[in-house]
Amino acid sequence: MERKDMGMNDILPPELIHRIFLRVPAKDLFRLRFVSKLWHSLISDGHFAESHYNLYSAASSHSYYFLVHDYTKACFVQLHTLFDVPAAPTTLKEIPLVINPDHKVPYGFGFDASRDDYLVVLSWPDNYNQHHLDCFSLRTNSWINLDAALPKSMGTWKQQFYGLFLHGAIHWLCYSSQDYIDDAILIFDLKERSFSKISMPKQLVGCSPINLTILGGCLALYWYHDDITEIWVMKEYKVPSSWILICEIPCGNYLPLCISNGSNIIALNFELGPLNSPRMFRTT
Amino acid sequence: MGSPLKKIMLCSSEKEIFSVEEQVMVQHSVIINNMIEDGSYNYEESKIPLDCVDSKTLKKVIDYCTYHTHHHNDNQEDLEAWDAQFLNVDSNGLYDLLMAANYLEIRNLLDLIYRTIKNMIKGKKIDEIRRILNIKDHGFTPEEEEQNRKEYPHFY
Repeated sequence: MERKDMGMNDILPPELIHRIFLRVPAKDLFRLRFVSKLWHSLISDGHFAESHYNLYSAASSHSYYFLVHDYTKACFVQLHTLFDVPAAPTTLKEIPLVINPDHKVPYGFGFDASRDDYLVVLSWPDNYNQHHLDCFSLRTNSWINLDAALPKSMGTWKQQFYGLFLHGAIHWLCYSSQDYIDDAILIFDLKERSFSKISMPKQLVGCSPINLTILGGCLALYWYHDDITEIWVMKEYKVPSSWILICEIPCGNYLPLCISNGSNIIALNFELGPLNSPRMFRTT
Repeated sequence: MGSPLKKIMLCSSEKEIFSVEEQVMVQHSVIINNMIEDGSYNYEESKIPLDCVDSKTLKKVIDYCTYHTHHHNDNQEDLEAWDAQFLNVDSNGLYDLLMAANYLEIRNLLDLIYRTIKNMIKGKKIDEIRRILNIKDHGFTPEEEEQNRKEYPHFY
């Protein structure tokens, strides 16, 4: 081929084009599949989706918001599109719920990189109060039957019903039994479709009210007691000995929002009402 | 790190020889740094053959490495302005540079080119991307192309 007749796809080997795509935001990729057949096959490749996701999720763990409307239908929005000024319309999708519970049910939303699929997870109790899990796949637009049974001892959720997505799994805070011996974080792995659990710091077992969140890419718990908000972080994922108390905020019931500069916690006071604005606290 | 006075020889695909300060290439190219460090380069005899890099591209690569070696203390804004001017080439010229930077493992130049191409793609419509990136043959059959255009008219 004459040099002047050559174009991008003739000059660059596919692996270099692949590396360009790894840097392109996910919302542009869908459109780029129609630029050429080669691009289509590179972008549609399952391994590509996985490496792209891993690269981007390293930068931000909170990409998605999941909302439930009056417990009859659910929808989600892509969080980064909310902040991207010239953004395409926010992705919004409604999902019909097959169950119509009379009370709140635990739920979660996450991405399964191995199947390049987004999953909505809902849990519901049967007549014997045993919890079951249902999964909705956005790829197939259908509900998936899961055989995975919840560990018997982990049937009761704490006050927080939304699960948090981190490292390919959804996490909930659970009461396990009446004597609180087994309080733990319940994990549902979206790739393996199986459950496991992580212990809480022993200092927090049996404490209430306690909430689960994600701070600086780590699982975190916050507990309000005696007008103090304690914030604990699990520095290494799934390593219970790495739980540390990173901050004690005096005088108030605070909701930690994020970690700034790796050492400050931005938090919102629950009780200040209209005077509410986030404040910064130094970690220990 | 070599002495600043030493020179090394690079040979383009047209067999043209370029003599460059060793330090300039050692600082930027992982491959050349490895060759110098493991002693496989002989200062009297060796010419590093770069069979897949033509003279025009090699000259640009050397310009880039030389400038960034001698101006690394400049402020960020000036360096970015220089980089933008440096990459003001046609799309095929950009791909040649990308191939050369990849071959020689010049990481900051690779990053710069990837970022540039990403920005050329971002938010653009398909017809525009095909023109800007010089994509001659999209490979879809006329039927597939028509179907795609019908299904996603706002992409084009």
